[in-house]
Amino acid sequence: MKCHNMGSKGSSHKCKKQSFHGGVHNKRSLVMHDDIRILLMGNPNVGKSVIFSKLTGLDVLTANYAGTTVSYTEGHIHYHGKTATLIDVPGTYSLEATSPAEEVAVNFLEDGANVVICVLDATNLERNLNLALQIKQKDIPIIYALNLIDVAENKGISIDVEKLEKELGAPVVTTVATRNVGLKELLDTAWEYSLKEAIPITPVHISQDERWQEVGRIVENVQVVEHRHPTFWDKVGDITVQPFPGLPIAMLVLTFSMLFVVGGGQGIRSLLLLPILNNYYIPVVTTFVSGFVAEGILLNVLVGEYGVLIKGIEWPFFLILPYVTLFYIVMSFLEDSGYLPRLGILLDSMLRRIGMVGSNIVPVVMGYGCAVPAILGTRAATTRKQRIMITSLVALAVPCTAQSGAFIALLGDQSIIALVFVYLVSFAAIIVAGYILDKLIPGEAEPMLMEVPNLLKPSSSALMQKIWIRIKQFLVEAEVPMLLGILFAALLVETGMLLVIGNILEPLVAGWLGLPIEASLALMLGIVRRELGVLPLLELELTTLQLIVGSLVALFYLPCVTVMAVIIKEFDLKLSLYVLGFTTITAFTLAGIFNQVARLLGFQ
Amino acid sequence: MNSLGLRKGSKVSVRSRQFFGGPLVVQYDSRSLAIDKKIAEQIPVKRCID
Ligand SMILES: Nc1nc2c(ncn2[C@@H]2O[C@H](COP(=O)(O)OP(=O)(O)OP(=O)(O)O)[C@@H](O)[C@H]2O)c(=O)[nH]1
Ligand SMILES: [Mg+2]
Repeated sequence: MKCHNMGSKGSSHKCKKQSFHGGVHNKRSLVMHDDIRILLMGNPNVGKSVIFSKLTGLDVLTANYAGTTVSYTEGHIHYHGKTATLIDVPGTYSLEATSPAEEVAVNFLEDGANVVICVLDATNLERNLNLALQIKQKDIPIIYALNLIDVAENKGISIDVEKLEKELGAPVVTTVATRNVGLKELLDTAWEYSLKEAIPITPVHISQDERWQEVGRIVENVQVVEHRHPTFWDKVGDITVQPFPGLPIAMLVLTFSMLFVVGGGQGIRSLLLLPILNNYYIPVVTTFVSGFVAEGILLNVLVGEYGVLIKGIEWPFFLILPYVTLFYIVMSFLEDSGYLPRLGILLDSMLRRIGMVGSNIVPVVMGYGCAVPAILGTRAATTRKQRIMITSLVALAVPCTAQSGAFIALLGDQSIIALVFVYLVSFAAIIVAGYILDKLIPGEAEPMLMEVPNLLKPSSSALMQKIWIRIKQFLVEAEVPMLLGILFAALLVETGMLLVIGNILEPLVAGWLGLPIEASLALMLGIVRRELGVLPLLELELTTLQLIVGSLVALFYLPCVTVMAVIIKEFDLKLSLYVLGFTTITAFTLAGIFNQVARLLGFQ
Repeated sequence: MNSLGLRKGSKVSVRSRQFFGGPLVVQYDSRSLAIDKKIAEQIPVKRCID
C-alpha cells in the first residue's frame, strides 16, 4: 500500500496503513501499551498538521483551506525517556461525520487515546469550542492548543487564557505553530497529562442549542475583540470574492501562473539545462561508457537512441523537472495564501453546470499536479457523486504536471498555437464530459457550504518544505518507472520488436491517427506514466498536425497505472474499468477524427 | 451549517454575491463562509443597522 501526497510518505514505520476506519487499537490494548497515544483533533484548517510535522519531524502536507488532511498519519516522539505516538487526523466540524475524511477523525476518537490535543483556532473561538465541548464529553484526558494567536492579534482578538482554562477545566497552551512558538510547552503538558487516569465522566446530554449557549457564555467571558482596521490581507481577501474585481484578478492570477511555469521552464531549460546536457553530460557519459563496453546492443541500450543512461537522466531531470518544480511553487503559493477556495466561490456557478461545486476546485487544481492526491482529496467531499465526477474528469482530461512538462517541451518549441490548442481542447473536454457525467451519475450536486479561510501571507519555511516534499516525491516516484520504461523502449528498438508491434498496430497508428508506426511506443509507455505517452514523440520528426494528434491521444489516454490502482482502492474495480474504457475510447476517437478532418481540409 | 457556527441569532453581514446564482459570502464573528444561494434564501434574517 502506498501513501501518496496526502501526507504520510516514506519508509514503512512512518507510513502506516491508511483506511477509513482508523487504527486497530482499542481501549483495552491501550492500557497495556507503554507507548503514549496522543491524538490531534480539531476543526479543519486550524494548524493540526503543522503542529504534527513540527513535533514529529515528518513531512505532512499543510495548506490554508479545510480538508487538507484526508487520512491519518502516525509519527513517533521520543521525549523525556518516553515514546509517544502522535496521530494527525482530518479536521472535523462536529462528531457527526459528513464526509469520509471526517469519519476517519471520529473513528479515531472512538478508538481512544491517552491524551487528546484539541487544537483551537484563536480567530474563531466559538465554532472551535463547540467541537471542543463535544470531545470533552468523551472519557479521555484532553488538553488544548490555542493556535493562530498571531493572526488573532492582528485582528484585534485577545483571549484570557487563564479564564479559558478554568472554563474548560484543562490546560490551554497558546501556540503559533508555524513559528514553533509554544510547542514545547504543549509537549510538556501532554506528557504530564498522559499519566493521568481519565476521570470518568457521566455524559450529560445537552442539546445543540444548549451547547451553543454554553459556548456563547464562555466566549463572552474570555474574549475581547477590539475593533481594528482591516489589515492589507483582509482587504485583499474581501475584494477577491467580489465578481468585480475578483474575476479579472482570477484571470490575471491564472495567466501569470501559466506564464511563470511555461516561460520559466523554457528559459531554465534553454539557458541552463540544455547546454549542460549537450555539451557536458551526453559527451562525457557516452565517451566513458564506450571505453568499457564494446559496440553492440548493450552499448545502445546504455547510451544509444533510447539509452537508459541518456534518456533516463535527460527526460526526468533536464526535461520534466523544471516544469514540475515551477508548477509546485505556484501551486503552493495558491494553497497557503488561501486563494484557492476564493477561486472556487467565483467559479461555483459555472462549475455547477458541469456537475461540480466551487469547493471541488481544490482537488481539480491538485489534479494538474498529480491525479493521485486529487483523487484522495475527494474524500473531503460529502457525496459519492462528487467524488466520482472529479475522479473521472481528472483521469480523463486533466494532464498532470509531468505530462504538461512533456507537452510544453514537445509543442512549445515548434508551435505555441498547437500548445494552446491542446489545452483548449482539454478545457472543452472537461466541460462536455462534466455535463454528460452529471446527467449519467444519479444524485444532486452537493450544495456549496464552505469556510473561506483567512487570506494569509504564506510562511516561507512552510512553502519551502512543501515544495521540497513534492519535488522529492516526484523524483522518487518518477525515476524508477521512467528507467524501466526507457529500458523497455531501448530493448524494443534494438531488437527490432518495435517494428513488429508497429506493424500490428499500423491500421490504428498510421491509418487512423496518421502517425509513424514508431509512435506505437508512446502508446505502450503511456500506460506506465502519463508523460511517457508524450516523450517518445520527441524522438520522431513530426509535422505540427502529427504533434497535435499525438498530444491529444496522450491527453485523453488512460491514466497511469498508479492512478488506476488508486481508483480501485478508493472506489472499486468497476469504476476503474469504466475509466479505462472511456479514456481509451475518447483518446482514439477524438484524436482520430481530428486527424481525418484536418487531412480532409488539406493540413499535413 | 450549525456546526460551522452559523445559527439562530448569529449576526451576519453579506460580503459578496456572485452572478448566476453563485454562492453568497457572509461574515459572522470574524469568519467568512460561502453559502449556496438556495440555502441562504431559506435563512430568515432580520435587518439591523450598526
Ligand atoms: N500565521 C499562522 N499560520 C498558521 C498557524 N498554524 C497554522 N497556520 C497555517 O494555517 C494553515 C492550515 O494549517 P494545517 O496544519 O494544514 O491545518 P489542519 O488543521 O491540518 O487542516 P485540515 O487538515 O484541513 O484539517 C496552513 O496554511 C498553515 O501554514 C499559526 O499559528 N500562525
Ligand atoms: Mg491537516
